[in-house]
Amino acid sequence: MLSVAWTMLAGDRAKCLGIVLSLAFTTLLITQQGAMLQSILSSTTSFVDSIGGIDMWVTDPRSAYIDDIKAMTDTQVNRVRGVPGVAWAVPLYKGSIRARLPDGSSQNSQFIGLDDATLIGGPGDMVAGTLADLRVADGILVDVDAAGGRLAYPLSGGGTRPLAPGDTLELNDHHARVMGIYRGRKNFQSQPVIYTTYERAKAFVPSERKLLSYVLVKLKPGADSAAVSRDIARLTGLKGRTTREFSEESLRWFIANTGVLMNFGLSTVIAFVIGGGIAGMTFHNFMLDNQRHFAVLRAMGAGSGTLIAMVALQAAGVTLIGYGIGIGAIALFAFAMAGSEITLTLTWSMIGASAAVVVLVGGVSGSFGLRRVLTLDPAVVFK
Amino acid sequence: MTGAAVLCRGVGKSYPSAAGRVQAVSGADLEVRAGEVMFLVGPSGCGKTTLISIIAGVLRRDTGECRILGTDLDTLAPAAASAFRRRHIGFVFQAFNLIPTLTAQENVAVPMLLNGAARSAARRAALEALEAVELGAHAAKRPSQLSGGQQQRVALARAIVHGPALVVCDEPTSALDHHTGMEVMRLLRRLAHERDSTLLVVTHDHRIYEFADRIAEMDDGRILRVGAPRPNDGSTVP
Repeated sequence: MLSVAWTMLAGDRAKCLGIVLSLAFTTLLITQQGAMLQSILSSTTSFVDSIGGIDMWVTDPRSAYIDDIKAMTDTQVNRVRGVPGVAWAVPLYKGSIRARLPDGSSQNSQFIGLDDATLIGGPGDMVAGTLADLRVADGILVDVDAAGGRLAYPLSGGGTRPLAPGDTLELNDHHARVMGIYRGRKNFQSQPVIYTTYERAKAFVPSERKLLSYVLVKLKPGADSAAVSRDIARLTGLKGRTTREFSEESLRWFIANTGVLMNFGLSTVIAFVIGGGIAGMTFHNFMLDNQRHFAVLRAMGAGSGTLIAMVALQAAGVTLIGYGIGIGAIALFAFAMAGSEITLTLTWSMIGASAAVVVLVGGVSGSFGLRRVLTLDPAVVFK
Repeated sequence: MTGAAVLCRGVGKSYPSAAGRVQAVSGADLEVRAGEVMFLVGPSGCGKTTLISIIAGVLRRDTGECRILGTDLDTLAPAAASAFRRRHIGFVFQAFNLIPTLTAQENVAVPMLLNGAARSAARRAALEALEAVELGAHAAKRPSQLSGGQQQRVALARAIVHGPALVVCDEPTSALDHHTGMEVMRLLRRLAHERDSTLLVVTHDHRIYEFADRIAEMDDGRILRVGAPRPNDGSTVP
C-alpha cells in the first residue's frame, strides 16, 4: 500500500511539486541564513582562533572583545613575563593602516605587528615567500585574497595583476616591500590583512605612547590557566584569558551588542513560517482532496496502521525530496560563492539543524493530514 | 455457499439533528441468501444507505442484530472489523470512487494489497479481474481517460478481485446511461454468479430490477416486503 500512497501523491504533480518546492525553499533559506550567520560569527573571532601555539591572551582589563583594543605600554610585556606560571610572553600589535597603491589609490587594511624575535602569531599557510622573510627591511606579508583583489598591482596599460613578492606598497607614507603572500581566514571587516614585525608596525603607524594591543602568553607545563590569570590581574592589573575564553567572550559580545543574531534569526523564522506554512497548507489541501479516497480505503478495510504508514510515507517522501533539493541548492550556492566576499559556513551541525527544522515542518503537516484521515467516517463513502 | 449471507433482525439506527434525533432505520429485518442477488429499493431518505452501511460494517447500529456471513461486525474490535471487510466484502459505489492518480490496474490491485498480497501477485490478479470486465486493454489508463461505464467496470473489477463473499453496491448504475447501466449490471450479475458471491444492490433504477433474484422494498426505515421481481416490469415487488 505504500506504493499506492506514493503514487497518490506523486500523481498529483501540481500539489506534489508545490509541497516539495516549498520544503526546498524552507531548507534553502534556513540553511543559507544559518550558514551565513555562522560564517559571520566565526569571522569575528577568526583572528584569535587562527593563532596557534599560545595559551593566553593578555589585554587591558577594560577590553571586552577582540577588536576592543585598549592599547598598553610595551613594558607590560615584561611584567607579564614575571608572572608565575608564564613560560614566555610576546607583544602583538593590531590596528589599521592605509595602504597606497602605485596608481595613487588607497585601501584601508588591518595591520598586524608580530614579535620581532619569534614572529609568534604569524600566518601558517604561506603561498609565496616565508614568514622569516618579514625580517627583511620594510618587509610585509599580504593575504592572497587581497593580493589578487583590493591590493592588486595596477598595470600601466590598465588592469591589474596579483601582488607578488618584490612589489612595493606605501603604508602611511612608509615604503613597504611585499616579502610573502599567505592564505588566511576571512575577517569580519573583509579588509586586507597585512603582517609585519612589531617594531616596524610601531614605526609605520602614527606615534603614540601606547601601541601594544595584546600580550601573547605561553604557560609553563602544568600551570593552571585560571591561577595564572588571577596572578596576571593581581600583579599587572591586566586581564588574561585563554584563547578559548577570549574567543567565546568576543563572540558573546558580538551577539549581544549587534543585531546580527536578531536579523538572521528573524529571516530564519520568516523562512520557517512562510515555507512551512505553504508546505503545510498544500499538504492539507492534498489531504482534503483525497479524504474521500482515504475513506474508501478505510471502508475497504485499510486499518489505522496502514493509513498511518501511507500518510507518513507521503510526508516523509516530500520532506526528504524537498530537503535534498534545498540542501543541494545551498551546496551549489556555497560552491559558486567560494572565494567571494559572501561566504557560507556549511557545517554538519547546520545541515543537521536545518534537517530537524524541515522534518518538523513535514511532521506537523503530516500529523494534520493524518488526524484528518484517522477521524474520517468510512460511512461517507455511501453518501 | 448455503444459508444466509446477511441476516438482520430489528436493526435500528438514529442520527442527531437540529430537531432532535432522526430515526433512519427502525426495526429493519432483512435476510440475503448466500449467492443470491438482492436489490434494496425504496424512496430517497427511506434508510437504504444507512442499512447498507450497517451491513457493510462501516456504521454501527443502535439496536437489533445483524450477522454478515455469520459474524456480528459490531462485536468485533475496529481492527478485526477492518480485517473482516477487506477479506469478505467488496464495494461498488455510485461515484465509482477510483483513485484518480492510479491506473485502472493499480486501482483494482488495492484490495489485494490491503489483504497482504505481493505487488506482482496483486497486479496479476488485477489484470485478470480487468479482463473479466473486458477492460484488459485499458489497464494502464487512469480513470480520467476512461468513460463512466468503463470506470464503473473498473470499480466492479476492484470489488471482486479478492473474491469476496459479499459485494455491496450503492446505486451502481445511477451515474450511467441506460444502455451502459444494463451492461454493467449484466457483468455484475455474471461475475457474482461465477465467483459465488452474494450481491446486495441499493438502487433507485427500476429498469435494472430484472437482474435481481429478489427485491426488498424499504420505506420509513423498515423493510416492507421482499419478493422476486415481476417479469418485464420491476416497478414494484409483487
